Amino acid sequence: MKELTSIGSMDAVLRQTAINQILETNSESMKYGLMLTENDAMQILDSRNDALRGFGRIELGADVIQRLIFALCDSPYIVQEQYASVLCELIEAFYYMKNETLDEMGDDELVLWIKDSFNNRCNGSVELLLGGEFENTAREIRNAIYSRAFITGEDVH
Amino acid sequence: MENKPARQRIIHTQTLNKNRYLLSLLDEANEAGIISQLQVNHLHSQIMDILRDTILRYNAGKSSSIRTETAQQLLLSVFYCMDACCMEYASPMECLEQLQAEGAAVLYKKGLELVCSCTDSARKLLSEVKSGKIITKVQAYNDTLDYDLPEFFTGYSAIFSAHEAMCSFDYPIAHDDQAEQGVFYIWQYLKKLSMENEFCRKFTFADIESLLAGYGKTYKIHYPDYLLNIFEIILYNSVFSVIAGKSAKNIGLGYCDLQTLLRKLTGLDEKTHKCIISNAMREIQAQLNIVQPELMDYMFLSIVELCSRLRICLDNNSLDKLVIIA
Repeated sequence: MKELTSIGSMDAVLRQTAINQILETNSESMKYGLMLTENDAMQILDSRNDALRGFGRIELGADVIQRLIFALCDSPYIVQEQYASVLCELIEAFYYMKNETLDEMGDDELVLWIKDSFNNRCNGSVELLLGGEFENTAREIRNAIYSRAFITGEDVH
Repeated sequence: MENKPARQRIIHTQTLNKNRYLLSLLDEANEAGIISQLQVNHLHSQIMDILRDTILRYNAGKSSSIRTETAQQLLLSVFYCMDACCMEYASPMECLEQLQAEGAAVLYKKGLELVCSCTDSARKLLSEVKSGKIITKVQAYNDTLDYDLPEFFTGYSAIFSAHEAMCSFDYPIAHDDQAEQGVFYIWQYLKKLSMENEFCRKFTFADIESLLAGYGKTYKIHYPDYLLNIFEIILYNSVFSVIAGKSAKNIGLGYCDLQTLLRKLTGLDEKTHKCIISNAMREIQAQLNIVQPELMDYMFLSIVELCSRLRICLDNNSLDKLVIIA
């Protein structure tokens, strides 16, 4: 309680809710032969928390994880054996992209972009996604933000 | 077996930190065994729900994650509003009861309304203070009222930055309460500035500027650029004017008055000095027809320091630094 203003102290309270949110996605993903165990959910949540910490971000709940799962569970490139680990990589890519695009892309827009790139241009390779495909898009978005800021005089940060 | 005293099950306001009221209340209540850890965790969870909604609003519903430093600021803003509501209750115990009965979200909503209402009051107060501002060359005074304070209201958000007083205004008031934060700080600042203006308006522009020019000469400064409090300088000289046997309005003192004051004040003890200053203050209030209790209290608050400064100046033979010769 002493350090509630440090948001990290809330992890214990929110953790179980987030795990349940992740497990709820099984009802949809099972249609495509994909399922997460409670251990998988914990691993994904830990990986998400590491990514958030690494990128200096906060998220309460597991909305982004759910959105990514719902968007990508029908991907022909994801198989059960790699389901949890691919999700971890995509989640990390999501927050990396958020930062690199200066928060310009909303969650839905970014999830759709990842889905489209992952399935249609990167053949299911997260490595390719994070390579040229992503870098080019991020650069375009940043340039648009900077030129808008230059014209309007607004503070980018 | 030794009987241990029963644990104190009442929390007193004085033990709580005003700037983290709710958090310190929950800490104290938990330590005193008034609420369980489970209840505390439940409240944490409710507060995090409020934060989650606030993050979504901040991101215009487009993003559920946010940079850590922004989230910290949003959480401080949430707590500021909740504290505003919590401190409205008659006692910490009543606040705890309401918190548990109504839930954190209801208290946050009430607190947000209080902050919004205070923002509206402060905005109106600024407009009044601006219309009653005195004419002076003091740059900090003019800039604070004409630019800095209005800028605060354009950037202030009760939802996202309630705890911040996001503008830099330089003009120092006589009794600033810097323990206050956010719009409540601005409100108290404006309230005090309004009282200071009301007092200063009893004097003419020419008298004030002549006094300030004398102040600049005494301290060898270009006074329009200096961060000085106009009210205090006028008040002090008015006090000395009355002690010197002149009227409260006559703040243009000369060397003769300084000699009179030296004669009257040298060699007296602290208690006598306090009596003389206090009597002079009553005389000023009577002569200037000041009857508003708040302004009267503020004036008395402003001379608390005068007695000790007077004694130091008399001891150092530097009364001419305190009594400004216009």
